[in-house]
Amino acid sequence: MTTNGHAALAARNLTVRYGKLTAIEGIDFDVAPGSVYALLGRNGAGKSSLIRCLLGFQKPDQGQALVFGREVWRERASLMKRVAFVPEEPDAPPEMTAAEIVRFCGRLYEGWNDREAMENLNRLHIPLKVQYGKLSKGQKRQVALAIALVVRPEILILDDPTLGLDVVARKQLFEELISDLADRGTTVFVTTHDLPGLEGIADRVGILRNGRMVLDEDLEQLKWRFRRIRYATPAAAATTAELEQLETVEVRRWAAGIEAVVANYSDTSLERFRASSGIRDLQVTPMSLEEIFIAISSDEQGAAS
Amino acid sequence: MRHILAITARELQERRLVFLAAFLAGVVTILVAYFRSFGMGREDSLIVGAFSMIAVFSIGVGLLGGASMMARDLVERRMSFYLARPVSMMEIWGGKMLAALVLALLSATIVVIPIVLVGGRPLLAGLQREDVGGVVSLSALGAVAAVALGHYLSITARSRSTWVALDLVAPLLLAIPIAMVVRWFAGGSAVKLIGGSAVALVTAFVLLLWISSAVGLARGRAELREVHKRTSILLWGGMAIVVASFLAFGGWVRSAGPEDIRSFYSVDPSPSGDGVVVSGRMRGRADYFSTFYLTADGRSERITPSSETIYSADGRVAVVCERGGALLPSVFAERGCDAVEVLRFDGNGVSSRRTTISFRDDNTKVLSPNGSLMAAISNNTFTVWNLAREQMMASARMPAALGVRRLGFMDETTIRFIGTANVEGQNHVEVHEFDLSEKAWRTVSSVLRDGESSIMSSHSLATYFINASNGRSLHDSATGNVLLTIPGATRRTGWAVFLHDDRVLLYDRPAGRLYLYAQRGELIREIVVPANSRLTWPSEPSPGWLALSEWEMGEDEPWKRLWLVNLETGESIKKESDLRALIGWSGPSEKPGSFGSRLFITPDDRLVYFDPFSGERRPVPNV
Repeated sequence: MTTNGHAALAARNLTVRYGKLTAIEGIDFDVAPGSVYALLGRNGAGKSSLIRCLLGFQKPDQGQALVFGREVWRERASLMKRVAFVPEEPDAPPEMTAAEIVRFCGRLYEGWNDREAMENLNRLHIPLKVQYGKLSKGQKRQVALAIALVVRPEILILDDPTLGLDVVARKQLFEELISDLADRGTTVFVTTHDLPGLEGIADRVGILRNGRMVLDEDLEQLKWRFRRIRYATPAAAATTAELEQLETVEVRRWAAGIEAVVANYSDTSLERFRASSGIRDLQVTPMSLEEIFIAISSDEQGAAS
Repeated sequence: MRHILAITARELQERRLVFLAAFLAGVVTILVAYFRSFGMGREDSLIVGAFSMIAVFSIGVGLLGGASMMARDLVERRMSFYLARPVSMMEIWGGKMLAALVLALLSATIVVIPIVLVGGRPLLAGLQREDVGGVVSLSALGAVAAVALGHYLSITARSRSTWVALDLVAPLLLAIPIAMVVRWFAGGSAVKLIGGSAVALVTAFVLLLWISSAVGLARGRAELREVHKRTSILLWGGMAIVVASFLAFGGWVRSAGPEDIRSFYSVDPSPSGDGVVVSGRMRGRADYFSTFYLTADGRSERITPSSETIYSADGRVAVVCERGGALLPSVFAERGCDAVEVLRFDGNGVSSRRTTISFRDDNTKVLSPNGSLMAAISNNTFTVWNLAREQMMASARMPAALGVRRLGFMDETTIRFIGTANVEGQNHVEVHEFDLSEKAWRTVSSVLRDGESSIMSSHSLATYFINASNGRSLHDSATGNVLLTIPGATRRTGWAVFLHDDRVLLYDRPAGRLYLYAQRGELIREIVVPANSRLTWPSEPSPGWLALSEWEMGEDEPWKRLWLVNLETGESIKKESDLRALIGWSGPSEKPGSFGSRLFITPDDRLVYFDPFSGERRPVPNV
């Protein structure tokens, strides 16, 4: 596995427009080799456009999408030997059976192992002689995944891989497959709405909002600086100004007090706030990735980083 | 190549039922041929059925295959299945287009298998009589075009992008210059050029369809609208260049001047001798035909292409016919005259005016001495027209069964016809006159003639020759009386021609003699020329002088020498020359010594002005 010091995946000022609509604008990020990168964003945030650019399916209007430091638009065919992709929507020809798909792929890849592919499908209980179009959505996804793994990719790109999977399969995907791949040094780039599954697996998180990358950060650091604080009402009015020092993303005022999500938590800043506001009943709780995502996504200013 | 074949095989496997359908279509064709003959024998029905099925499957399946190979994947967003593999765009495109092509050709082959099996040897023998190769290659080419066209139409219809406007507008815009050039070519009766251009344009279009489909997919990849946009821009951009080139080519063809005439179709010198209308095919321009008016001072003007120019006696007015319709004019259109065009010649050149006068059928026309009136015969009806007002002045049926050989104004109110007729089983030469003031015709004379004979009238229509198998006779048109009989003078022994002043020149080849007769048949002079030489009709390059070119049969350069004959003294001067005199269909009619009387053609078919006395020679036009 050679990367020559380049990021496995990278975007440089990546911009995609559809007529007057800007799908993504000025995106910059790097995905380190061997890491698991989770790209989050609401529907229409630009995730699919970004993935299409990263796979060389679509030419960006500006900027570059790089795979191992090489421009993927120009070198897609050769780079796809090292990249596997599981799309959000099943894209294999519906008339083909899983076995036919395996055999067809075998003629496109060097070093392809038909037996391994068939074993993967059998393990997943995929009927080999049923047309792909007649499989369930989850089965289709599993076929795509099984084929992707036979290639032994250096990069695996998963576009919402849990869509259509049952709870067990979802858990297996995150806890066994992705973790296993990551342990073997495969770079995994995943978009998903199933954020709890990413906890403890993703190394880094990127959040797209309205086509802009509003956050690109290590998950651990992200979870450290995002905290939820709560305190009683009487001092609330007097402490709003001080609260801003903690870079709040979300502030809710209840009858019983104030609840806020702070984006730049540190023990020092909290002590300073506590001292200046005189609040004694301040509670600080860690946040899940899902909570952070919701807080950032609902923040109009987008000042997350 | 491995990847291309893998994709091709996959696509064919998916559509394998088409081959079964082709086989069944072959079986149905057999059943139809057995139960319905369509007025043909069973074998012929099978052959026609086989050819029809080949065409239907190669083109129909080609269209459907081309339409479904990539467009469906793009619409259903399945192209990513291929794009996510280590295969190049050209391999994806090549594999799918090859599959469509194989599907079309293989199904067209399969469809005839049961027909051939059932038809057996008689059918194969029948097929050998037909142009199998032509049908097969045409079907194969049709499949090639159909596949690319199917793909293009399919992505256009499915993309629903604003770029579809380009697909709708571009063909219309490009059709305008194409139609314009085709009309230019049609105006020049260039059937071969039109055919060749059509083949070239269709080939370019199909080639661009294929190229644009490849580039469109390579640039647009998984995005249908982008694929369509790129395809359309390249296709129509390419076609714009092709059409611009075609337009330039058309302009070049049309720019051909009289110096480019490679073979003269018609030469009509003005009776005044001031100019001459020449027409012919253009050198290096296939069968393109042009007509020019050439003047004595070396100028040339392009006029409406026509095969015949009818002058007034003073040479100042002429009429030509536009044929083939306004949309696709053609000099060689078989019948009729779509519009009579009036040409007026003056010192500055020629001006033309298209009139509303037209004739549905073949017609013979003649102008009055000053060109104000035109008499015409068409569909056995005689009409007289005022050209300035474009108004018919008289109309009358022709005498029954009169084949008009010559028509002319004797004065402004009398028009004479000389023609052949069959009266009660006997062949006659009849002369009739139409009186414009009385709007009626009368028979002037009628003479029996040999059924195999032909007639030739003098320029003034005062006399005419009957060229019979046993000799020639000169007649007075007004009475029919014989003015001169020349027994034994036939086409085999030579020719007879009227000079511009109606005197008669007879050439006796075996004897090596030229005989000059007066208008009324008196022998004026006998002139000695080499016996058994081959002399052409004469031109009159100077008053009292004739120029006759001599040629030798079977030679690569047959024109050897020029004989200058003095009609006053009988002297003949031999000049080594490869020029041949340019003479109209009715013999030398232009004023002797005029520009028109000194036009010659070089061995490489160029027109030159040549003064045989001084040796002055210059190209015409003088460029």
